Amino acid sequence: MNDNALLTVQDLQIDFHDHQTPETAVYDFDLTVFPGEIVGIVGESGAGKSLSALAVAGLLKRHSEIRAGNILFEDEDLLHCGREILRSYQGDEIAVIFQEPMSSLDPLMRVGLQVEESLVVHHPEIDAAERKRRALEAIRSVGMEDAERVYSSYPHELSGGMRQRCMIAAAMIAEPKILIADEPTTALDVTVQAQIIELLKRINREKRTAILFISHDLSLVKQLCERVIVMKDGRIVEEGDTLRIFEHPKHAYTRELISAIPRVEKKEKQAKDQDRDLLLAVSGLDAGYGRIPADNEAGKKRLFSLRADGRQILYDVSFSLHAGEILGLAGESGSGKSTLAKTILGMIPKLRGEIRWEKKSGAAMVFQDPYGSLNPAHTVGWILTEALTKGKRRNFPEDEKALHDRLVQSLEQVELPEAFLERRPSELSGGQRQRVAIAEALISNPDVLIADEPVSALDVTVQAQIITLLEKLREETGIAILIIAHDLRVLYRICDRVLIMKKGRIVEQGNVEKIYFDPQQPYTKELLRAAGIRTNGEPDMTNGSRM
Amino acid sequence: MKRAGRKFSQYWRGNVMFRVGFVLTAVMLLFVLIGAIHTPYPPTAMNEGAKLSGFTPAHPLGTDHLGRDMLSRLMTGAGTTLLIALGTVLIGAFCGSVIGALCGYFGGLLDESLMRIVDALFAFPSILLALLFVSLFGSGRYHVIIALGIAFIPSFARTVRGEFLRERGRDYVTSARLHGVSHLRIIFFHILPNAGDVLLSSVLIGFNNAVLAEAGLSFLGIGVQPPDASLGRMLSESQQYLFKAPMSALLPGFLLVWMILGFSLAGEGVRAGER
Amino acid sequence: MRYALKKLISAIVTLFVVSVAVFFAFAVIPGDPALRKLGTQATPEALEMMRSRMGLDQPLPVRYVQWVAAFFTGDMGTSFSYDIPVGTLLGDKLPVTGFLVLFSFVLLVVLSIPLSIWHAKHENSRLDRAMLVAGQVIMAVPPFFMGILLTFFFGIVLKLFTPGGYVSWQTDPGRFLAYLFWPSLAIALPRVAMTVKLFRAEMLREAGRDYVRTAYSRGHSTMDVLYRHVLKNAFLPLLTFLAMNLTDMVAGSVVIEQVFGIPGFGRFLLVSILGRDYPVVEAIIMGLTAFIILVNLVTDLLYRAIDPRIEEAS
Repeated sequence: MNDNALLTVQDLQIDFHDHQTPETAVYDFDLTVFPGEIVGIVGESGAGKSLSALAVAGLLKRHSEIRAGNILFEDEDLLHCGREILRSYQGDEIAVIFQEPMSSLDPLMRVGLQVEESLVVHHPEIDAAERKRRALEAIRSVGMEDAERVYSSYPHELSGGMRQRCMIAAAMIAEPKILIADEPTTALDVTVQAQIIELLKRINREKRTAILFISHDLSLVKQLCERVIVMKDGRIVEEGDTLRIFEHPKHAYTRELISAIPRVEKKEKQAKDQDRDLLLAVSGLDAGYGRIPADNEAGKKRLFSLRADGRQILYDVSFSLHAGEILGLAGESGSGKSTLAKTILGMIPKLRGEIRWEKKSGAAMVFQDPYGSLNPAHTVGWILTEALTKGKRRNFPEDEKALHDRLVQSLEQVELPEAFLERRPSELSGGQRQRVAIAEALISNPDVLIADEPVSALDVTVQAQIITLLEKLREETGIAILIIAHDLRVLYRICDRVLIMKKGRIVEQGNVEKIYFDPQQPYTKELLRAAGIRTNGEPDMTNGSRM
Repeated sequence: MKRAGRKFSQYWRGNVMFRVGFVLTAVMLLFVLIGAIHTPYPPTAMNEGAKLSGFTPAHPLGTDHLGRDMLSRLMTGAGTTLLIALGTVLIGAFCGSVIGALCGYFGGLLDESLMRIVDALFAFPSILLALLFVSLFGSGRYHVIIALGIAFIPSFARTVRGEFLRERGRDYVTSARLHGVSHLRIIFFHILPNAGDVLLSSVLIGFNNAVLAEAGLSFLGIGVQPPDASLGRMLSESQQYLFKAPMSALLPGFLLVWMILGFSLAGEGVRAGER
Repeated sequence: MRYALKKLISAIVTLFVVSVAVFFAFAVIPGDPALRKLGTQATPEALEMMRSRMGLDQPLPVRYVQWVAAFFTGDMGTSFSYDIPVGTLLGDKLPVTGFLVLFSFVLLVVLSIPLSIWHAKHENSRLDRAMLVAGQVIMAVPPFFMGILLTFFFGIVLKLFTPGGYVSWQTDPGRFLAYLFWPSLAIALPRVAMTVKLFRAEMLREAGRDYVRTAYSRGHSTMDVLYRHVLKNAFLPLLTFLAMNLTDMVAGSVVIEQVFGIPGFGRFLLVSILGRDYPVVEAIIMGLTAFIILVNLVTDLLYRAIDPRIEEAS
C-alpha cells in the first residue's frame, strides 16, 4: 500500500444476485489512484468496469453486493465506515458523472438547483445567494457562457452535450479530490465528445482533480489517461502506463482489443467505382417529416394550425451508388443520415429531387439495434421464411425441403449453423443477432444493402467480425453497400467512398483516401480531428504505427 | 399449443401472484362447472318450511329469504355472473383490439378521430356508461352484456393502441414492410404475437372489472331479472336480512371477492412476468 | 397560457359533442313523452296539444337549441314522474352526494399517500409484504359489498352506527357527517388499496432511475432523495389516477347510496332510469359530464404546472 495514494482498492469482489444463485461479477479488483492522476478502465460490456467504479463511489444498485475487499480513500475505510461517513465523502470529495446525461438529471428540477445540490448537502452554512453565485460560476467554468439561462432551464431544454457539462459542473462545484467518470461521452456525438474530453483534461490540469475514467473506447482512453486498467469478464487482465499498454500489450486480450480498432493509414485502395454499373442515382433530394410549411418558416404556431409542425430534414442531396461498391455515409446525430436511408427506400416521401434506381431490383436494410430489428416473438427460421416469401408461401413455390435448404444456405452465408433456425432472437448474442439480420436482408438477393449503424451497438471485437463479414459478402456476391455510421474509423476500414453529412446537406464526398488525408471542408476536418484521426500530415493520435 | 404451454410454465414459474390467481380461478371455474351439470336443488325452488335457515345438513350453506338453497343459487349465480362477464370481455376485447390495432398501426386521421371518441368515452366511468345504455335500451341480461361490452371497448382500445404504436416503430416492422409483407399480415402475424402478453393481462383484468360491473348493475336491479340468480342480485336481495341471517348476504359477497381476486391476481401475474 | 386556453376550448367542444349525443339519443328512443304524461286513455287531440305544449312538434335541431338555452337559464326541464322542475328536484340531493364524494376523496388522499410513503420506505419488510397482500384482497372487494361488510361489522355487531339511520344535513349536520363516514369509508377503502399499490410501485420505479443514483452520488440521505426527487416524479402518474378515481367515485355513489339508504342524486338517477324519467336522466348525465370534463381539465392544468416537459404545442 502506498501512503500518498488518494484511493486504494484491494481484492474487491462484487456479487450479483438478480437470480436465485449469486454470480460473481468482479473478482480481485485492485486499483490505486494518486492525487491529480487520470486512470482509465477499459473493457467490453460485461467486463465489470462500471460496477467496480460505482462500488468505489458507494453507488451499487440493489442487486449487487460487495463480498470482499477494501476501499481506502485517504485514511478512511469507505467499506466499513458506515453510511453517514460515506455520505460525507460522496459529492464533497468523491464526485461521479454518468453515461446518460438526460436520465441522470431530475427531469422536474431546474438544472441550476441540481448543480447546487452538493453544496446544499455538504455546506449548509452557505446561503442561497452565494450558492447561486457559485453554481453560475461552475456552469461558466465548464464552458457555457449564458449561465443564467442554463441555470433556470429544465434538463429537456438542453442538448446532450450541455447536459453533460451541467453534470460536470454539479460534480465539480464542491471541488472534489476525485472525479469518477462512467462512460461520460458514450451517448454524445464525436465533436461534443472531443470537447468533453478537453474539458476533463482542463479540470485535471487546473484543479488537480484525479479522474477515474471508465470507457469501452480505447482511443478516448489513450487521449486522456496516464495509466490504464484493462478488464475482461470481471477480472483485470492487464494494467500499466498508457503508452506501454498501447505499444507493448502483454495480454492476448489487450492485443485483440487494440487490433480491433480500425486503423487509419494510407493504403492505396484501388478505385472501384469507375467502370461499374450505376445502381442508384440521387439528385437534388429534399425530404422531411410531417406537413412541412411551404415557406420553410417552421415555428409559426397558431392556436388551431392543422399541425404544420413538419420539418425538412434533407436539403439538395445528390450522390450515386455503383455495383459492388461500399459507400459510407458519415455525420453526427441529427444530420439526417437515417432519414436519407428511409427516403431512398421510399419509407418517407420526398419533397423534391430524384431517386433513380437503375435496375429494377430491390434494396434491403440492416438496422443499428439488433435487439429491435428481429421480431422477438418468432424463430430465426420463421423470420427468414417471412423475408423470403414476403409473407405469402406461394411466393416461394418450391417444396419444404427446398425452402429449408435455402434457409440453411442463407445462415451459412453469415457463418451461422443450421441449428439457429429453431432459436429465438432472445437466445442470441448481439453479434449473432446482427448476423441473422444480415441474412434476413440478403435472402431476397438485393443489389443494394443499406446498413444503418450496423455495428455501433456492438462491442469492439464483435464490430470487427461484422465488418469483416460485410466485406466478405461484398466480395462473394458483388452487392453494393451503403453504410451509415458515426464512427469514421469503421468507415475508413470498409468503404471505397464516403459522404460527409451535416444538417441535412452533404458537405463533402469522395474517395476515402482523399477525404481522410486531404479533407477540404472545415467540418470534415473537425470530425476527423474529433475522432483522433490525423489530418494533413498530423499523426494518427490513436494508432501509433511503431508496433 | 406448444407456445401456450411454454407461456403458461413461464408465468407459473414467474411469480406467486399468477399461481395464486390461477388456482383461485380454477377452483371457481370447477365450482361453476359442477353447478352447470348438477345442483343439489333447482336454484329457484322455494322451501316454505326453511326460510333463512342456518347451515343445516339439508342445506349446507343455508337458504335465503324465500327458502331457496344457497349452495345451488351460488353455483348458478356465479355462473351467470361469469357468463355475462365473458360476453362483456369478448365484445370489449374484440372491438377494442380491432380499433386499437388499426389506430395504433396506421395512425393519422383515422387514429385522430377514433381515439378522440374513445378517449371521451374512457373519461366516463364504465358503470355510468352502462347505466346510460340500459336507460336507452332497457334492462335485462343481453342488454347488460351489450351495454357493458361497449363500455369496455375504450380501455381495450387504448391498451392495444399503445402496444401497436410502440411496436410499429420497431425496426422489425420496418424490415417486414421493406420485404413487402402486407399491412394486415404485419398486424396479425408480426405485431400481435408481441402484444399477446399485454392483451392476456388486459383480458384477465377486464374480467375482474366486468364481474365487478355486472355485480354492481345486478345489485341495482338492472341486469339479471328475478328469479334468476346472479351474485350481485343475491347480495341486494339479502341485504335487508343482514341482521337476521348475515350469511345469506355475506356468502355471495365472499364468492364475488374470490372471483375478482382470482382474475386480478392472474392478470397482474401475467403483466409482471411480461417484462 | 395558450395551453390552458387550448385545453379549455377542447373541453367545451367535448361538452358540446356529448350534449348533442345525449339529446339525440334520448330524442330517438321509442316512447312518446306526451302519451306517457297523459296515459293511454288520452284522446288524439289532447295528445296533439300536449305535444305542441311540450315543444315536441318542433324539428329536432330547434328542440336541441331550446334545450341547451334553457340549461343556461337554470331550467333543466320538468320531471315526467313528479311534474316538478328538475332543478328543484336535484337541489337538495346535490349537496348530499357532493359531501359523500368529497368525504371519500379526502379519506382516499389522507390514507393512501402517507401509507404509500411508508411502504416505499420499508420496501420488502415483512409488514410491507403482509400489507400488500391485504391490500390485494381489499382491492377485490366491490364497494357495495364493502358497504355491506362495514354495515355488518360496525353497524350490527359493534353497533357503532345505525344501519339505514340517515340524518339529513338540514336536521343535524353533525350526525349527517357521522353517518356519511361509513359509506365514504366503503367507497374509499378499495381505492386506497389500489392507490397505495400504484404509488408504491411508481416510487420504487423512480427510485431505480439514474437521477436518483446521481442524487446519492452527491451525498444525499435516503430521506432527502425521497422527498427532494422521488416523490415529485412519482406523483405525476398518481395525479391522473386520482382524477380518474374522483370521477369513478361520483359514478359509484349510485351503488353506495343504495346500500346505505342515502337520498343523494346517484340513487335518484337510478330511480329515474328505472322509471324512464328522461328529463331527469338527461340533466343528471349532463351534470356528471360537465363535472368529469372539469376534473380532467383541472388535472391537465395541474400536470402541466408540475411537469415542464409538456410542450405548449401538444
